[in-house]
Parts: sequence; C-alpha cells; structure tokens
Amino acid sequence: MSQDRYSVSDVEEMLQGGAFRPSDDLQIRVRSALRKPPPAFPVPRYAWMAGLTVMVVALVLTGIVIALSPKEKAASIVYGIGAVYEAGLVHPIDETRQVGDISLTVDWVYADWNQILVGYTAQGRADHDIHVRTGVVSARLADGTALKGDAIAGYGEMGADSSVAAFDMPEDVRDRQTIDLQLVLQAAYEQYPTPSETDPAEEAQNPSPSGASSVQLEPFAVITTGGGETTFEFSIPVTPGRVIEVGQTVEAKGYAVTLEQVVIAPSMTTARLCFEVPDPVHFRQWFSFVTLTTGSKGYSGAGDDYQVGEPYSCQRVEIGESVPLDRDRYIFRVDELAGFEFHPGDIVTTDMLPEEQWRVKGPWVFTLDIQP
Amino acid sequence: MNQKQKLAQLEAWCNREMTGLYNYVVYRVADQTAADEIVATVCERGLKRLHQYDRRRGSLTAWMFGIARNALNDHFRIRVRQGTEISLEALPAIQGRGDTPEEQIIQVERFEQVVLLLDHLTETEREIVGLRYGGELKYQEIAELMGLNIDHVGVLLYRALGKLRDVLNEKEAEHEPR
Repeated sequence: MSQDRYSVSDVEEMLQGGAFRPSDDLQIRVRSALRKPPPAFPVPRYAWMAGLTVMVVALVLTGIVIALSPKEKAASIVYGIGAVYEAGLVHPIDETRQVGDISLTVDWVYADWNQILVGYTAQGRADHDIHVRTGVVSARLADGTALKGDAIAGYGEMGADSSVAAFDMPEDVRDRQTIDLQLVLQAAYEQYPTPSETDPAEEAQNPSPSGASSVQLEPFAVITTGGGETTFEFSIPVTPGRVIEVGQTVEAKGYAVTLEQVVIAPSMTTARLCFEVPDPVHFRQWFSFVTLTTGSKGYSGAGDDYQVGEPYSCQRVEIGESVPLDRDRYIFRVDELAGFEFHPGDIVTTDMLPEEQWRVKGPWVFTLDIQP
Repeated sequence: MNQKQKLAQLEAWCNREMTGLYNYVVYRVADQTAADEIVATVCERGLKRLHQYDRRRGSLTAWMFGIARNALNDHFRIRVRQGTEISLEALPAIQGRGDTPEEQIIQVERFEQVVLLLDHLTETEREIVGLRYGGELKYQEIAELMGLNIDHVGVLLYRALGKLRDVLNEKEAEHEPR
C-alpha cells in the first residue's frame, strides 16, 4: 500500500499558496456602490469621504500597496487627528520599554481641549501566526483622574502592532499648559494554533481502534505568551482651543433643542446638545446630525451617545474636522434628529439592526456671534 | 464614535480586508459572476448601514463578514445550485504566492487542485474553510461570527482539511501506475 502523499498541513499550505484576484469589473461595481452616499445622510456631507473610500478601494483592488509604516497607517486611519498629525502638531516621544522580548514604544502624543491622543507601537518577533497585541490598562492624570477612552485604531503587521489611544480631555484641566499623564500599556503574543497530525510512524505503531484516521486534536485555545505591562509617564503640552458658551434654545417642528456649549480645538470640535426625544418608547436609539458653518465652509458631525429610553437627551456631538478657531461668527445647525426602532426582546444581530426609523428634520439653527 | 470615525474605520477596513472578503465569497459560491455581485452588494449594504455599526457589539470585520454571510444566504435562497461541481472556468483569476514566477505558477496549480474539491465539503465546513483561508480570519473571529466556541472551530476546520486531504489522496491513488 502506497503512503498517502498529502497531509492536512499540505492542504493548508496549498490553500494559503493562492488567492482569487478581484476582477476589474468588480472594481468598477464597488466604486459605483461606494459613490452612492449612505441614504441616511445628505450627499455633500460625506462626498469627500466617499471619494476617499473609492480611492482606497481602487488602490486595494489594483494591488497597489500604500507605502506607509505601520504607525503612519495607524495614525492615518484615526479620524480627527489627520490634520494635526500631518501638520506636525503631535509631539514625538519615542520612549521605549521592554516588556519581555516585546519593545513597546510611545511614538507621539497630542492633547488639545477636546482630546488626548497617544500613538504607540509594539515590536516583537515576526513569527507566522503569532500576533503582537497591545492594550491600554489605565490612563490617569497626575492627580489620579482616570481618563475616559480607549484604543480606537490599530494597524498590525507580522511582529508589530501600532495603535492610537484616544481619551476625552477632562473639562477641568483643559486650560492648563501641560498635563502629566501616566499610561499603563500591555503587550503580549497571541497565537492561534493550527491543527497537527500525529507522526505517521507513530500512527503505524498505534493504529486507532476505530480504524479511522488517527487524528490528535490539540486544544484550540488562543495561547497568550510573553509580554506584560509597563508604565509610561510624560508631560503633554496642551494645544489650546476655544470654548463658546451658547445656552440657546430653538424650537422647530414642535421640538425644543438646546445648544449648551461648543468647544473648537485643532483636532476636532465638540458640542453639548440637549433635546426632547420625539418618541423614546417606539424609537429607542436617537442620533443628532449637525453642521457647523463658518465662512463658506460647513463641517458635519453627529451625536450618538443616547441612553435607551431617556425622554430628554444630552449628547456629546463630535465634528471630526479642524474648524478655524478665530472666526467671529459660526452657524450651528441641527439638521435632523433620527430615531431607530428597537424593542426589548427584539433579535438584534450585529448586521441586522432595525430598519424602521423616524427622522425629524429641523433645522434648528443657532447663530454664534463672538464678541471681540 | 461618530459617523465619520466609523466611515474612516470602514475605509481602513477596506484597505486591509476587502480582498479577504472577496476570497471568502468565492470559496462559498465558486463563481466569479455571483461573487462580484455579492461583494458589490455587501459594500453597498455596509455603507448604507454604517450608522448601525456599534463596535461594542463586535469588530468591523465581524460586522462586514456578517453582512456577507447574510448576502450569501440571500443568494442561496433565491438560486438553486446548478450542480455542485466546481469548474476552473467559472472561478476568478488566481494569484500564486511566491518569490519567483516559477514558484507562483506552482502555487497556483496546487491552489487550483484543492479549490476544485471544495464541493466535497458540507456547507458549514466550506464556510469555515472560506472564512479561515479565503477571509484569513482568526479562529476567534470565526468563532464570534458563527456563534461557536473556538475549540469547535478548530475541530471543524481540522475535519474539513482532513476531508480535502482524503479526496486529494484518493485522486492521487487513481492516477498512480498499478
């Protein structure tokens, strides 16, 4: 009897040795699909984003590799810091700590009146199917204040992982020139084992009782090895912004909306917006969509931190673009309030949130005239 | 995370994972025309429903592959499989991984050899093999997506690879001189 030529490992290698290439026709279709704006939002708002998406997908589908380092990639995919990163407003740190055989480096930091950002990279050994994983254990100011936030984006390559951690700037410290941050990061290897067979010679000596192929299944748990935690302490200069206390209430379509405050900072703009929820019972998730205009340019954003069921919502609205700080007039327009139906007991999966929605179109317009 | 951050994340995801998504779909349908249609639909649905994506419920990868799985279910609901045999003519172009053109050609041939046998797998096995080797998902991601525990994913994957191995060896034996 001839010995079997192929093993499970061979099959795995054969599958890993090739891949299907998306056709040019698909490229055109995907471009076309992505050019259509999401119907939930007005076209002009996201037109440039859709364009960027098309460009990225086109690059992918034509096989062109963007020549960026992992940390540049990590920074490039975090919305809200593109402008400050590209303008060189981030502060290089390049401080490295060894965690086992993983080098953990804080690459750069940035703080303004809206957020604190930390870019960091883990570099470990480059073994196939072993991934370096990092995380933020804690982030505190020198006075012990815990910062709210998490790692919002990462870019991994074999043996390396770059991430950006973003934290909300606490209101009571934002007017300081610098803040002292204590950041505890962790890094470790994660391995996803592949199945293996028993040695054929051993199999011949110890045939399985059933006569079936004697397969020794290894435990398939994720194996975490190496690494650990380390603490970084550094001072971050705070890039100032502008706080506009508004306190205006506008009524439209029978609903009152109050704009309490707008904070403009180089990396992003935030606002605190409160409104009567049109129907918190039948539409249990509410978003606000806004546009901030100054001069001839509008910047769009949204608020989504609604607590299910609350009849009066105060949301943090985020506009992830760099809005000019020095203007004497801004127009803040709440374009619409959008509610989505969601009942307790509904079967909700990650891709099947309810389609039913109620969109209350205002607009609610607030004119912000700044006195010199 | 606001809508723009989500959109930026979707762009980044497309940058990294779109080819994997395409490969997963081809593993399932083994037909270029159908795969093109499904992937275009998935992109459209992903963009349309982006406001529904909540990262606390799972990764963007799980979300997009979840949309793809539903699109595939729709595809199989409205189309009766026209025979199960996979033909090279119906598949998209294949790229081989290798440092030299010769190595790449060998890899393409070996890849074709095993891909043509996917119809010997059950739908679940084919799905797991597609997610792992087409989509290049990790065991943990496959487990989350399919509602299985990670051990179960490993066992099912191993069985599927074992089945492909057996068919390959049978075919090899048929061609061996007696």
